[in-house]
Amino acid sequence: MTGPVIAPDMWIPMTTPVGAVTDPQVTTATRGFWRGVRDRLLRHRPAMAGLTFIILLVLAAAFGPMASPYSYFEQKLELSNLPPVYRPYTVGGGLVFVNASNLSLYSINPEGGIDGLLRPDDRDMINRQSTWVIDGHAVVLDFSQRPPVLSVDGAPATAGALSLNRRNPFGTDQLGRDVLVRQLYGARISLLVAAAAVLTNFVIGVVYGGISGLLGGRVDAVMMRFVEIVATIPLTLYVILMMVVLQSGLLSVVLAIGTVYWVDMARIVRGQILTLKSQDYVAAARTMGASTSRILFRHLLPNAFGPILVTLTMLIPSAIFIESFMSFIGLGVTPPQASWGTLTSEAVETLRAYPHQLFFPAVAISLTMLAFNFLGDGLRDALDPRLAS
Amino acid sequence: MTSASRLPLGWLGRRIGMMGLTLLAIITLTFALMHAVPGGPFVSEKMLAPEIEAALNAKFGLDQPLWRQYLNYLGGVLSFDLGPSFKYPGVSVNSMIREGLAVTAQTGLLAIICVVAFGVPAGIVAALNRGRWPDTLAMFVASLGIAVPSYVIATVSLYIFALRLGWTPAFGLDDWRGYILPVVALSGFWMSFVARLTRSSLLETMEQDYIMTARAKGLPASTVILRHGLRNSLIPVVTVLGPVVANLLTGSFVIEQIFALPGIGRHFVLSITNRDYTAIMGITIFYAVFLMLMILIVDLLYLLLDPRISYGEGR
Amino acid sequence: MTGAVLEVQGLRTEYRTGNGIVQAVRGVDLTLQRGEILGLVGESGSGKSVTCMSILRLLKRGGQITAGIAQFDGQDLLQLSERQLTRIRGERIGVIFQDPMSALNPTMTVGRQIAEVLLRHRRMSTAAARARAVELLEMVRIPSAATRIDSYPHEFSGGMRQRVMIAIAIACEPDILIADEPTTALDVTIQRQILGLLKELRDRLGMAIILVTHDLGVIAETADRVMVLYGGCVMEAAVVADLFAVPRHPYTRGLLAAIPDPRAAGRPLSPVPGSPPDMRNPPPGCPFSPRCPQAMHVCSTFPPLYGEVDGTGLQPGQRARCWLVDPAAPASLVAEAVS
Repeated sequence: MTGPVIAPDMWIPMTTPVGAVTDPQVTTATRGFWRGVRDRLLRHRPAMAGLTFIILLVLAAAFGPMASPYSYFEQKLELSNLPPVYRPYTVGGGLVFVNASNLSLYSINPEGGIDGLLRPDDRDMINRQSTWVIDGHAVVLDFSQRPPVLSVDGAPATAGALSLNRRNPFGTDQLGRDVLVRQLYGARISLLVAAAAVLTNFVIGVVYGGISGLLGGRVDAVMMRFVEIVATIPLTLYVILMMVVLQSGLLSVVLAIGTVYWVDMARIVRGQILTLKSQDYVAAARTMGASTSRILFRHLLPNAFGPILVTLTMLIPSAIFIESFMSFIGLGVTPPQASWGTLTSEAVETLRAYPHQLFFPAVAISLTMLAFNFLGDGLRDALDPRLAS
Repeated sequence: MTSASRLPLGWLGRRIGMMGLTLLAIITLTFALMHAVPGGPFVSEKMLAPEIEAALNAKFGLDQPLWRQYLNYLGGVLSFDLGPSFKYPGVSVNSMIREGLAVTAQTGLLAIICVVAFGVPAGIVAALNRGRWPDTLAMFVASLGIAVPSYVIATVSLYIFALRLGWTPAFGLDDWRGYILPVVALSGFWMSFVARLTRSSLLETMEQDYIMTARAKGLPASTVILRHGLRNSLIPVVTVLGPVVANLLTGSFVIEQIFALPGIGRHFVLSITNRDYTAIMGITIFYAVFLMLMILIVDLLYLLLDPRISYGEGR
Repeated sequence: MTGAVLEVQGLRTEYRTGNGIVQAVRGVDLTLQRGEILGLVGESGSGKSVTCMSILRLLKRGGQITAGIAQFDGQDLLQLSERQLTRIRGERIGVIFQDPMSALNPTMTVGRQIAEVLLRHRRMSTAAARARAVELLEMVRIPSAATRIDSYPHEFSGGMRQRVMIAIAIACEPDILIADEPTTALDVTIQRQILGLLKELRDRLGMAIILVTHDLGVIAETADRVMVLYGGCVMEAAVVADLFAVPRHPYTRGLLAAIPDPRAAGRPLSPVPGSPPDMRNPPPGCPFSPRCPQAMHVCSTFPPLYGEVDGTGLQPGQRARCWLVDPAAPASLVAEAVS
């Protein structure tokens, strides 16, 4: 057997075993739990993307409408259903745009915004032609064909390159309201509903679950029976009935949604309390004269914080969804208020002619839901690394 | 206790009693809610002459004291009579439900089949390929399915496949292709949900000690997964199917509206906009009963799947 | 009762975790004689369980065997295909796990769980497998086996479940039984019964047993030979009596000192100070050197050799991985350590 060559002084005993002093495991174990959660969350890419999107959305919803010259309710019927992009035609010194769906002609200002409806000088319903005289040019729109053909001074006009609508970046709706501003108001409503839902359900859930868990016994049994009954009613049905009673409107939506999601929260809080009650340090706190509320806030909430946080985060997309769902079927916010649900249902009415109006609310709500879901998944994985994939 | 005597009759009896109690609570609650609505049911009507309103009230028994109305209604419900519609003379709520049931049940059944037939296999494939592309793909699609609201799936697919491409009809169920879009929109969320649940449940099961035991027995990998992994991992999936059915029902409100399907959901939404209170109450109660039956069936199924559960003694 | 049934050499196993690669087993040699009970003892994280699970390549997710051979019946188990290995597992080598509560499938009757092994490895009908399962349950002393066979695991107590596990493991009368902490989750009286059963089955079926435990008492009572593991390495191996009489490794001595001695009641226990090394980044020399009261400078620099060296007071068959048993070690230190 050959080994390393060992110098004689290596055979001298070490004075102290270095043992526990430089033990790397101890330093890992004492590293803060929340620091670990934060680190894992920061490494979770979808969650970070979701969080970034949410922050941007909140900023846009808060400040966007202030920056816009339009309000969500201001109607301008002659500028209805404008698209976000268009192909202009050159007529004389100016540009015009043809809306093929309602056969109107609009003038385009030098900044690239569609800003004026040009009323035809003549509309011949037999030959299916409209005629305008612009800067001395005869402009004819022949709508006997599909798509309609525009000619200037008898010669067919050719459309220019695709341009952005500078007046209304997202176009206008069927009442001529700016879609961008209405989208941002929709975001405001969604975020408002989400915030209200989180807040009220948190309070109700903690109070209900707290009372049930702390009092225990018969009270607990009755309260949990009630929770069971509530849990069997589909939330959508509950919200619909609330809305029928409360009548439509933003406040009713907030009230209805604010009171449906507390069941999970109550169960979590109660479960945590029951676990805690069986633990010695709570009994110790009790005997030392700590009040119930003190036990609740000093001992319970820090322990239950993780599951509560995940439940609250996951509740947000549900609340946003159900608000838009209710608004979509006409039970949510009332016109002229805009929600992503009402925007979608308005877009469905004109789906054949103006499909682009569906695009914006559909994308907005889908991305928002995705962002909150990603954030919730990331939080859950970060809090319980065992579950992380 | 041997497995032959596992059908817990006592539990079943108590369970049905509990259901009756819940139902009573729901009837009372809906009745109270509908009578708490400001103004009578005919207020929205334009300026009825007082005598006509009185006649209408008498016809529907609204002139009687509230407790009497409640008892009448309760008696009706118990004898499976949900009363007449407030809005459509001569139409009973029973007949409204009967009319819509076929459509709703067909689309609902197809949707639940889709949820199971696509959601579960997708979850299994993802779990068995953990971290590889089939997992990533399935979970990406599932994330979208969970995030994109059903009405958005419905309207966007309606535009693309019906209006733009013309592959499917835009409304109605005259053609088998008419079922595709409503069923996909109805089941999209739950398919994704079930896929994710199946994946995480199977992954967790495969980490269990008894899977190691099965491997140590020398069983081939396929037997380990199918006989020992899958069966145990499907227990939580089965337990969510009850709530899934319920939520498919409420989801059908908007889907039936978008695709103009004459189902119960559409009747329900219409009766809400019409303020047809007897119809709202009746359909709500119908949903509640249906839902409770579903949950009961799931609990019995659970009993069948998991021998550890015994509803016999204790709680 | 002669000849090795299993020979493991230079086994190395790693686990990939979120925080780095854990070197769970770092070059373990192990020889199992026909019919003997070999004890593997060590603290949790010493690599004893991973060593015996590596033999059958039954590793949890992230585990990987990086080197070594495991010679069994003329073939290297570590080189077999997964398919070939399924013919060894359960048939030639049986396994019992630590926690009988979770090691049985909760949704399958115990009878089916036993019959499953037989149907896999033996040509027999379902009815014959069932009859054999009843016999096996009787062999592991489960009362009224014929009716209990249709029960589910949750209807058994912990000790009874461990008996069921043993029945599964011995169903095909394997050459080797690997028992991974079979009594840790059980209370003391049940523990004695199970250990007695294992010994009895060894005598009856003539199989060799690898018994993993952290309890030297279990070793003293059951095993013929013992190997002490620490930090993924074998620290010392000896016949059980020798290990208790003349332990040569300071770690073994530490373990022995930590056993409660009923004759010396009132004397404080002396646990080994410090905690096990971080196996993601094990010490370069002897893994025990940071905690060793007799550590020399060489110990923290070079890993000690593991050999049977004559003339250093080792008993026949005793090996220790310690610089103190090296012939070059200063005699004064050796004497001081042994005293």
